[in-house]
Amino acid sequence: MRKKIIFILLILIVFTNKLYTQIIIKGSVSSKEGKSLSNVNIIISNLENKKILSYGISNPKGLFTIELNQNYLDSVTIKYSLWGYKSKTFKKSKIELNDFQFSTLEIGEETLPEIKVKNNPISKKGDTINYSVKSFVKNQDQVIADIIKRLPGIEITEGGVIKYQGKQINKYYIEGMNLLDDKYALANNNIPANSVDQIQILENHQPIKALDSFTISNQAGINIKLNNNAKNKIIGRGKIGIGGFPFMYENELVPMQFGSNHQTIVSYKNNNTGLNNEKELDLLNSNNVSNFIKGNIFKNPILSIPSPNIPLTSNQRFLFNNLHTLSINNLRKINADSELKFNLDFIKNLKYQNSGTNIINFFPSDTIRINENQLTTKNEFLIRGSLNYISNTKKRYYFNRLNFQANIDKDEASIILKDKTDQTFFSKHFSVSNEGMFLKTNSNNLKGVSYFISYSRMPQQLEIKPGKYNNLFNNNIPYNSLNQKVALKTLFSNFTITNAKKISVFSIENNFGISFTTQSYQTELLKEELNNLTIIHDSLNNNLTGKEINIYNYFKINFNEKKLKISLSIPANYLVQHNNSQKGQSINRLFFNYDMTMQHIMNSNFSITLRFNSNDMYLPVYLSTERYILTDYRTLQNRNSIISNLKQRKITLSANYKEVRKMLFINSSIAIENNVDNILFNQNFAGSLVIRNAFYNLNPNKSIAFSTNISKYIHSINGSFALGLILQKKSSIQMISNKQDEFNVKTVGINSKILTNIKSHSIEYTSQYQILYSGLKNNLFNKTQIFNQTAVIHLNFLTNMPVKLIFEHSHLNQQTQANRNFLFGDIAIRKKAVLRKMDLELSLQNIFNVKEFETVSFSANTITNNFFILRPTQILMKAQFTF
Amino acid sequence: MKYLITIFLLIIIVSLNGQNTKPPISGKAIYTFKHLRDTSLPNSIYTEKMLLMFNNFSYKYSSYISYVDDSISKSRTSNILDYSKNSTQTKYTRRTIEELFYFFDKKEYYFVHPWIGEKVVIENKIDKIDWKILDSTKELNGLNCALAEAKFKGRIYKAWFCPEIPVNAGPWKLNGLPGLIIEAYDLSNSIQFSLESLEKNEQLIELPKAFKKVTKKEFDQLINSIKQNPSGFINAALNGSNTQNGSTAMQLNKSGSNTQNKKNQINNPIELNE
Repeated sequence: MRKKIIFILLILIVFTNKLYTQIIIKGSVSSKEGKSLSNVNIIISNLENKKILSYGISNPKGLFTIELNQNYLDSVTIKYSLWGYKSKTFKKSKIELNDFQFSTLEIGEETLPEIKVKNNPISKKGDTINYSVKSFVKNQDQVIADIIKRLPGIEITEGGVIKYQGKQINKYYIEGMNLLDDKYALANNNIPANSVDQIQILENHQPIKALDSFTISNQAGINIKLNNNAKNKIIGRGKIGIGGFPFMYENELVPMQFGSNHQTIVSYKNNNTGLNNEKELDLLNSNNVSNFIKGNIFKNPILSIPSPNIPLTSNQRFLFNNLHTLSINNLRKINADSELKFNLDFIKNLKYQNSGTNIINFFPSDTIRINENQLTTKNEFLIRGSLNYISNTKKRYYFNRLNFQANIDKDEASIILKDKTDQTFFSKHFSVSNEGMFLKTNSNNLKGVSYFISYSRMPQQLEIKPGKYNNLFNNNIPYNSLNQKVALKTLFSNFTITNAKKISVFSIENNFGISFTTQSYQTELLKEELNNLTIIHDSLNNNLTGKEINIYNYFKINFNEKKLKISLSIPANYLVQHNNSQKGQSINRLFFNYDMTMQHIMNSNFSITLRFNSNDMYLPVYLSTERYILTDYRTLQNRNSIISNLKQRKITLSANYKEVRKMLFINSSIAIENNVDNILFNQNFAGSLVIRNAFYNLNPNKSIAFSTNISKYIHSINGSFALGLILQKKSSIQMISNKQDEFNVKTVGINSKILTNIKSHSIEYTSQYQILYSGLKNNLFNKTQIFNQTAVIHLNFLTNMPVKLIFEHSHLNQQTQANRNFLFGDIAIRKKAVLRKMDLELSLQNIFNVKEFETVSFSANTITNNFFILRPTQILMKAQFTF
Repeated sequence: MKYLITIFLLIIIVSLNGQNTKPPISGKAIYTFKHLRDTSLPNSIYTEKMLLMFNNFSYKYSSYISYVDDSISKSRTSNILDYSKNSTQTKYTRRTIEELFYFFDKKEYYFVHPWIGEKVVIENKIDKIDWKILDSTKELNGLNCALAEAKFKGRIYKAWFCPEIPVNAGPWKLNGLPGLIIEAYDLSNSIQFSLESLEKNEQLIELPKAFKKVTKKEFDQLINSIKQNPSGFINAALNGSNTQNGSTAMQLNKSGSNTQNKKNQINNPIELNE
């Protein structure tokens, strides 16, 4: 019995314990208007440590029930919360919890803490790498090029060429359409930065859809994706600038429109501040130039006035100019796969330069120095246009492009070399060409035909006053002027038939073709006395006509697998070249070359490429002249009918590493080149005249180059850095005064680029350091060190008033001369949004008023120092607007 | 106390003020879902991005990739995708095709399965999960979270929820906590949900317009019969459904699929039998 009582008591204790430890809280919640609220969260937390003890959720009637273990508490807080309503919290004691709880809630702020996955500024999908412009854009950026040049892995060269991982891009698209082809610098330098949403790199890009599975491309394309508010309406930039001293102006108007099936860019720019806008209209893709070179389409100055080498600094420091450029470009999509493009450029450029040149010629027995001062005026006019029809589907590709180009140049120079000589160079170059290609594929076969026909005419004349070299040309009697005239006509055509077949991982391609060249080349050396132009001597005139027929077959086999890509091509040529020279030189030759590339893609980050290739090139027909030509006022040259040939053999090993998530890009390459050419010029001096006579000689030219580049984006400094190293050694044979010698140049170059951001300011620092050792084999090496560094600092103390400071320092250390140091400074202050979309900029250039600049360059046995008179301190006020 | 309740109810019935015509605030959350499907391959974890659209009263849980593909196909695509070698549009990624719809007021949830030409819906009662709140707190992505634990469908889940976001939603079938579930995992680490991003959204959560209601038993029978004879089944279904193209849209293996695809073997399903 006693055990039973104890048992019952124990049960009672346990039972009453439970009763005392658990309480049930009931309540309801409604809105201020009295409507019951469901799904309200009611949380009971410990008052002191705020830990959640229990909770309830109200039902559709607004009622809730909460069980609470009240062992450890004195007071609690009870919190009512519902999204879209203001939460309420009450403090309640243990006793108060026994009552019915209720609360009313008022409608409140709809808040939701936003969490975004850290958007990687760079992301990769398949073969496309996307750079998000938002992550890279800075306050001071005005056009896309300002953003692109700081993207890791991408670099823009001085000439405007965009390179990805060290290789040139092969296409520049805007919203998937190729408006400008090789003239992409025009878009890159003018599309407003705030119109761009993303920049995409298309690795291994094959622009021709039909060739997609047949050829392996190791170049990348770039595609600019615009913001939605930049599409389908006229956008663009404009600028009006005035300054002094003397009177300066800088204006531009660039309207553009990018619609879903048409694109237009029109650009008109003029300035006399030294800004070389014509560079934007340069054709940058050097892949397809062989036909243009053979047809003599590009400007080809056979005669010239000596021109100093352009220094490695902004043109605006030393160029005095008066430039107008107009470019009209339009692309219209006729349907989803075909488009019609029209491009027209006009350039009118007047350039002045005041410079001096010191040339030191090293000979085994002698050293000759030449000091020239010259005042040059160049007057250039260019009109160029093309009409292009493209149809690009997976099964068929067709394009036809009609081009024409006319260059009219007149250069004048006054050169003082002991005595004063005035020179005038006239050139008219006119060319018209039509090219096209048709490709058809069906399942694994591809057939195609391509054609190119061109005609070009190029009369040039170099006039030198007073007549020079009286002893040679006029029996020691002075005469008025010496004139060299040349006229070159070229008719060129090329037809190719392409066949390609794909068999699982192999693809075979065969190009069989014929090209015809007909050239007629007349040169005359005349003297002018008393307004009469007479031929000096028959032996100084050329009348060359020549023909070349090249029948070729390029066979290529590709192996394309995920990790390994191999391509082997064997070009075979049968070349017949014949001209009417008295020596009757001609070529009748069958020769083979090879080009083998192996690319091993170890994983998505790393790949290695090895390439062996050889090439056999014959220079154009017209170069095999048999009599002298005065190529410039100091050089008389005779090629003695030798048909120039260059044999190239090259091995390149390159490795590419990229880690897109860490934004790290590394590329390295070694290239060994072993070339042999068959012509050597013997140089002899007759006073200040160099007489060069060609003779047949097999000359080896060797070079070995190693380069490596690394570029990385660093989150902690909010910027990126790039470092490049180049080591190169070149050797060639030169002949001076009947003696052959080996000439070597060794170069060590280190380039660096650092971009960092501190708060809202940014600093871009670039430096180039070069050591050059050059000289003839048995002589002492001349050592020259060149160090250039530039710092561009953007200060954004006020977001709407960015300040740009540019400091440029150049150091020249030569054994033959004293050290030179140059320091330049520029300031530009911009006030943004003075009016709705207009910025005002005040810029001060060359604040330290540096008067002169010097550069050094090497060739064979000469060291050339050029001096430039610079533009003085200048002030310019510009109003820039975007629309 | 009971009188008070009755008075309240009367007040509620009497004061029928016009409701706010404001649409309910809703949010969009993206979770990374990880599932160790085959315990014999511990390194092969099925990962998928899932989308949770939620508001005060309901939520929808579905595959994120399907949501993205739909928006891409609706907007005009750039031509350049055709030019590059691996066009990402044509790549098919494995995804969950079913969708879950939860409606708290009705205490029901719907399992929507896209079928040939129409959607099939199974209606269920919401199983109330008996969460126990534990002592720990931690901060995730700037949100103060508390920890809760419960046994659900054969597994013990731990869930971090954020009372600052006072909705009862969570990934998959995990819900009923006084705050959005930010992270959840089961004790054996076979299942894991973690929040990647969160933002406001304006979409209404509602069931698809055209669907066919079935019971779980009928649904299981459908799945089994298609496994036995896929081509015949699909032919019949296409001919009988409202699709414009009556003939077979797909070419299937006519020899019948008796061989089980060993790659897709799951010996560790999400819901375990108790």
